Amino acid sequence: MRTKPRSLAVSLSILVAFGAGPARAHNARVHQPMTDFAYQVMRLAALKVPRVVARPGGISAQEWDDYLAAIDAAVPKLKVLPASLPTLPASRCVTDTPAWSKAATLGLLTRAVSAGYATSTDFDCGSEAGWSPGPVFEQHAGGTDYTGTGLGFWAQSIDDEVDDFHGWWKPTNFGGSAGKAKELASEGWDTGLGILLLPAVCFIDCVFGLFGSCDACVETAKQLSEGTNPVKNLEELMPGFGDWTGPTYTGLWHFINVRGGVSNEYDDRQGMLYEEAGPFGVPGAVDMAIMVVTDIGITINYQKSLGPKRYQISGATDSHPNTKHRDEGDWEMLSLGHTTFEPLDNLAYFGWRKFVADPAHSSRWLGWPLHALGDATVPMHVTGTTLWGHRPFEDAQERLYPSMVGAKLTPTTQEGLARSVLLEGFAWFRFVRSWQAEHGSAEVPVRDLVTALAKKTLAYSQDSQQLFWPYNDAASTEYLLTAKETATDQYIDHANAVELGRPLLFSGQGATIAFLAAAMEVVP
Amino acid sequence: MKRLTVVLALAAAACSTVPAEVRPLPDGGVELPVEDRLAEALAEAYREAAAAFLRGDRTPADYLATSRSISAQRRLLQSDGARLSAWSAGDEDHDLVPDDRDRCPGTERNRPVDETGCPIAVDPRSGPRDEDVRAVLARLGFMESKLCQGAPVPQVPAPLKYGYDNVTRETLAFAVTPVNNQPQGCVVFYEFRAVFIGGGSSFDTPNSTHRVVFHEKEATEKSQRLVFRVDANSADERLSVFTLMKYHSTYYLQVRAMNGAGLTSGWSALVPSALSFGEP
Repeated sequence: MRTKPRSLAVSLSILVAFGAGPARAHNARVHQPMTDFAYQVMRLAALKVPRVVARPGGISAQEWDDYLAAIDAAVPKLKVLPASLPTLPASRCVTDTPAWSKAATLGLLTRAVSAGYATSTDFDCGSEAGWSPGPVFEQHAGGTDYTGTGLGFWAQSIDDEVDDFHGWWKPTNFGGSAGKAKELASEGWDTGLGILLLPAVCFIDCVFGLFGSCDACVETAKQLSEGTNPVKNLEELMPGFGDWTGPTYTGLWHFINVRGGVSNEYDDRQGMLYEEAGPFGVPGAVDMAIMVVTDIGITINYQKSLGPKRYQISGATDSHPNTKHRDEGDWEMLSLGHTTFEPLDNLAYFGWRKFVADPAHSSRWLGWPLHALGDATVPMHVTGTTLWGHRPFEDAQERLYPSMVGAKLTPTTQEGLARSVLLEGFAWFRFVRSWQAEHGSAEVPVRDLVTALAKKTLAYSQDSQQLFWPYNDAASTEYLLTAKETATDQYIDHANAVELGRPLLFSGQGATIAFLAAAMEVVP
Repeated sequence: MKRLTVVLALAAAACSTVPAEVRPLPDGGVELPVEDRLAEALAEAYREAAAAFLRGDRTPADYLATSRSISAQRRLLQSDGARLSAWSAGDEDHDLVPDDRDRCPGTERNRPVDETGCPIAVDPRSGPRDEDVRAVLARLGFMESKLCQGAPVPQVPAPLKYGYDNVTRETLAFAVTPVNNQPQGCVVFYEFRAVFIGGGSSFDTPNSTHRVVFHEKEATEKSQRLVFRVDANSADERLSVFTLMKYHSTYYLQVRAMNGAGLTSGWSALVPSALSFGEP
């Protein structure tokens, strides 16, 4: 292990916001409803709706009954888990007052919890107006069980764990000199806008001293700053220096690259490593731009970041090796483009172990494994890339979600979709049981579940790869450089977009059912 | 290899204590521990590779292969103490391969090498398109303000009202709560995002999103709330939003703040037009 490097105060404070939203994970409005939908299917199964729970051919009665019995037992246990919702300020509850404080458990929720419950500033008291479990669930199970929305809220909330990542620029990585760019800040020259705007390439020129002098670039920067509107679109600005954090970056811990040929240096699974990003072993254009820019010395800030402490695993009891531990010096040694982040299955395992160790079994802790199961259904998350169509694909999945789950279909038609998810769940539950039998353990193999789901996503994605679906790097570049909506529309308007995306979603919802059913077996 | 030295007085100023592994040198400087020297060498190698790409001397495939090569050499050095010691004793061509194992001394800088220090052929197809990477780099920028140094993440502003502020509908105004947790003089930008639902206009596609950004100095009211205005004389996205909000009946608006250090608040809740539209 390295000794701790000298810490010099970062004197520059420069913006940084990854233009393409490299690290933001699967959209909140997919994470939450996909979890809720899985819970609603469990309710339907517990109610023994005949066409839903009929045993399919080729499955023994013993196995099927074991599965349904686990679901039967899980549903009431989920409802008595602590909701653990944070208290909202009174100003948020102008138009509605669901009295969250009385909802000590998920089953006592009297309204659907919105995805923006904790982060929004709206006045609806954190409830989701117009929520419905879906036609088939309304018909058979009624629409007053909000347990799934509470679980879904925690599932999506992991993207808001902003303290998982803090980044900074370390002048020590320049041997103590940051060149002209540092001088600019200390000179304090300013413009009427109170900022200095530097083109990324110009800034790198200055730091690297590429052409002997960066004066020309500085002049360009001044012209930019003195322009009438230099900041047309904040998302076009790159991630910066000083202390930068936020929901854009938490997702750096939300990848698992299950493609072959990756380094697996610290764990038996590979997390985000830009060098190895991409479905075909080639990073996308913005992946590479991030590598280049961060080579000026942007690293994780270990002291401020929770991610390294949370997601490096020690004392593992699930047959997987512990993480090859990195200390502060190791984490800050390499710039972001060359830093290996801990993989998504470790993130799931962190939350799972917290859940098991918590005597109250707060539902909050389930958010980590549930989130991981959602991200493991995204082709880009399982190939460790922030590009290759990542954001437009996820935005499209969000827009197509109602169609995928048949939200506007008849109860009978949606019933068929619910059964499909239940059958997916059986396959994953069988996976759990097989693991337990093989290892002689009652442990829930959370890491194996996430990994297996990720592998299934990758295999499906590779088999389904067409010219523009699912991997499409040009869409990501377009999303950043020209038109977000147009890029997203490439996925929405793709032939059979719903049918192509649905298997990914259903597989994740099935895995969610299997996880929740198995997880509740550890709750007394 | 290059021996990194720093003047002891400067080292003492930067560190609360000088690490025990630091070795004093006759000239009054110190030699850093080998692990720290490796870290410096790695940072330099990655930086040089990036610089070569930015100069146009290397393709994306070259840069990627070189980066991977540097990482591969790092893994070898960190997993093999003897190799690390050998590297510490000498690496004349800076390829991170110890001289005593380097079968190809004098390798050109910023080229990928194998574990014996010999060049690796690069498949020119094994990287993204050069023009795409450069287009991204050219588009992105950094923003800084020294008055924002150490500033916290801005509070999430709340949209209050938005709409046309006179009967002739010549001016569209947005009212928002001000961010007040920033240091004196630290500039704050307000970015509004309007989502137009359902294609209520022939001027735009359904479900489109448009953004406008205002500098806080542009606000026409600055006490309890900030009010920003656009009109038919506005340009670019401001004109688009001005026009679209006239003809769309259903849209949502939200706002977020960013300071001059680049720290960005979360988005406010989406406020539907039916709730907040009215003369600000």
